[in-house]
Amino acid sequence: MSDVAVLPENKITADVQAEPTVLLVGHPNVGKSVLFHGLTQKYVIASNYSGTTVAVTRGSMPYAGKQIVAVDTPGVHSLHAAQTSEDEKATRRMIISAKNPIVVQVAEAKNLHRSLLLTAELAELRIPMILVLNMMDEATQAGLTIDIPKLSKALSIPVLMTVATKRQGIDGIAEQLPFAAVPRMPQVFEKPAVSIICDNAIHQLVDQVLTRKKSPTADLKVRAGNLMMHPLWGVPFFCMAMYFMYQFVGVFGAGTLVNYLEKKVFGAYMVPALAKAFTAVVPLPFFHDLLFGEYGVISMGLTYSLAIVLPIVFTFFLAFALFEDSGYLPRLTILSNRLFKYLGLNGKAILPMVLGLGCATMATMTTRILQTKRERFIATLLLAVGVPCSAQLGVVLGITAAIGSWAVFTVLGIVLMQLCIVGFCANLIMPGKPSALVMEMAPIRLPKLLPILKKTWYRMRWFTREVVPLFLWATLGLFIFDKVGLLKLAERILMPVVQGVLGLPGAATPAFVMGFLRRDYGSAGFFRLFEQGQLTVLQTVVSLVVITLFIPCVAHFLMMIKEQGRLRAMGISVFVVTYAVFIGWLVRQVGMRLV
Amino acid sequence: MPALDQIQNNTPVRVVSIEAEGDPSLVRQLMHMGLYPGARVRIHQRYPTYVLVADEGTVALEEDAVRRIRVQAIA
Ligand SMILES: Nc1nc2c(ncn2[C@@H]2O[C@H](COP(=O)(O)OP(=O)(O)OP(=O)(O)O)[C@@H](O)[C@H]2O)c(=O)[nH]1
Repeated sequence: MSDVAVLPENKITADVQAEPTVLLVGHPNVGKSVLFHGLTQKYVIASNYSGTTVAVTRGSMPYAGKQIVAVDTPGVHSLHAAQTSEDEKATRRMIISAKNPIVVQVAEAKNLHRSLLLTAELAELRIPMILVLNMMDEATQAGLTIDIPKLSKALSIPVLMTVATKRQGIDGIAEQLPFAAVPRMPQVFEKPAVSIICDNAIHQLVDQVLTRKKSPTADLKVRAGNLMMHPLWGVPFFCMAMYFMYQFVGVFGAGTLVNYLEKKVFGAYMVPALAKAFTAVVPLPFFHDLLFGEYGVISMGLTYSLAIVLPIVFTFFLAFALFEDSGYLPRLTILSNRLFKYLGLNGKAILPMVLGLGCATMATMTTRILQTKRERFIATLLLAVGVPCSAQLGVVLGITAAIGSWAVFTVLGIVLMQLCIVGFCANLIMPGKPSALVMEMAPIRLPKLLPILKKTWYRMRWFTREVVPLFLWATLGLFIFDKVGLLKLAERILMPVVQGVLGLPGAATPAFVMGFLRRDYGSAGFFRLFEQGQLTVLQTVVSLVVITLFIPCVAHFLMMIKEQGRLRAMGISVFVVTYAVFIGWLVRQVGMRLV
Repeated sequence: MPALDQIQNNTPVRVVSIEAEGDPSLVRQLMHMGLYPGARVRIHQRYPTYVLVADEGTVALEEDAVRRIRVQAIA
């Protein structure tokens, strides 16, 4: 290929004998994931929001006739030891501890200067590397030409040009790996602690190899991006985005798709047919109950996870991927930064918070992108308190809409208010303060269908692997609890709280117990009671508020333990339950005086 | 040398230095986002958060950090 650089002669520093490990390293959002996908057999979630490659992905790629391990590392802003972000520490550790590593630095061709800053830092680690200038198409569009052979010679490492999304130049990477070397780089940061005056060497190098034909003009995409983060125009844009979400996830996903799958496919055909076939083969009532009874693993667990949650989560992930890949999320970060500051977070928290509207379990996992432990804790707390997941939101909206639109706003308003109050108090009580927002803004890119579908597919796969089994186990647990009478016991313990404090009929207790298993099932239980006329309007509002603020589903609880540790997760849960009951009581008191 | 927050919106200037006092990692972070000394930069918007547009990147920052950036007019 013509865009592969001339090689420095006899520069074989990588040991061909021992098998090397290839590490893809680069600034965030330079196309590493796409490139990795092109190089290896395994797919990683690629996104236009910096920091979403939280987990590291491995794959294999050809090298000197063998298959060797390739690793996609999280995007970093710097590799210097003084950096504090988890991703940066992890990447640095990975490079240093890898056996016989070769670094493939992936860089955005448009941003040569800052890319070379990273090259300089990599050079300090004394590890053989090659430099890949990706997104050549965008650089050309911006009127830039780079003298690749000259750059390669100056650094004395192979330098390649690629367009990862079109697979251009990717094959050259495997060919050039054997020629990887430690780049010849002047020391850039002599005194990192004091203000840095100039990094002359890189300036000179860039001046030598880069020519700028025309200055880039603001195109349509840039203008759209500007509107999205405009203090005024950003608001209607946000409303439009939310309306789209509501129509697509709420109406289409939670309404049309769920109705079809739950009532028709599962309810009318699959479950009865399976039950009939099963009873014909195994005529034991116990096992029939276990699989198809009231708390049956198939009739309840599987139906719930596949027919109700999955379609909602699917439509949500699809919409979310669209926001991510278009570059809308970072714009939203800017708009919301000041608001989040009051809650002890900064604008970056918009990612877990919006994701929480899809699946709070997954959102809890992504709190990892937040900078400080304090922020991760507060975000986890807020997700547990009152960010309703899409499954639950669907049911809550359904019920409140049946009462009247005022009920929708009342319930959601109360819940939103609690989020603000809890966040505000946490910010006051906990030592420290929210960290300042320093964020690079990914450019607006026209999202492509295939990557969006792939990303959604991989998230769905994660969901079915990680979350669906939890639901099945939980249903089994429920079944056993029911059989040995523990369910009744739990209900008896809760009864005084439900009747005395919240003023609800005793029949509402099972819905709360169930709420732990599946947040929306709790809500659905209330819906039935409301339809049967067992709940007044006020009682319905109280129960919906409580169940929304109430403890998260089992999967969410387990994820909290994983991310925050047992102690904090328990602490959060105890707080959330107490708080939910307290607010429910308060709503009832206020409501009784108003009505 | 003026701090960047004193420059009018959309007037391109050149970054001279970044005051690192108290936050050495910020300097590196900003350099790697395109705000290295010598880079051309302009303020795109101030509210609700500063957005700076440089040749090699667009960065969102809070006022505190923008004040640390010393700039000079482009010759
Ligand atoms: N025009 C163009 N776009 C590209 C190219 N390579 C990747 N992209 C797009 O750039 C965006 C970011 O790609 P990713 O692969 O997620 O970047 P990354 O470096 O892995 O990002 P993080 O892991 O989040 O740091 C995606 O929307 C890609 O479709 C390219 O060569 N040309």
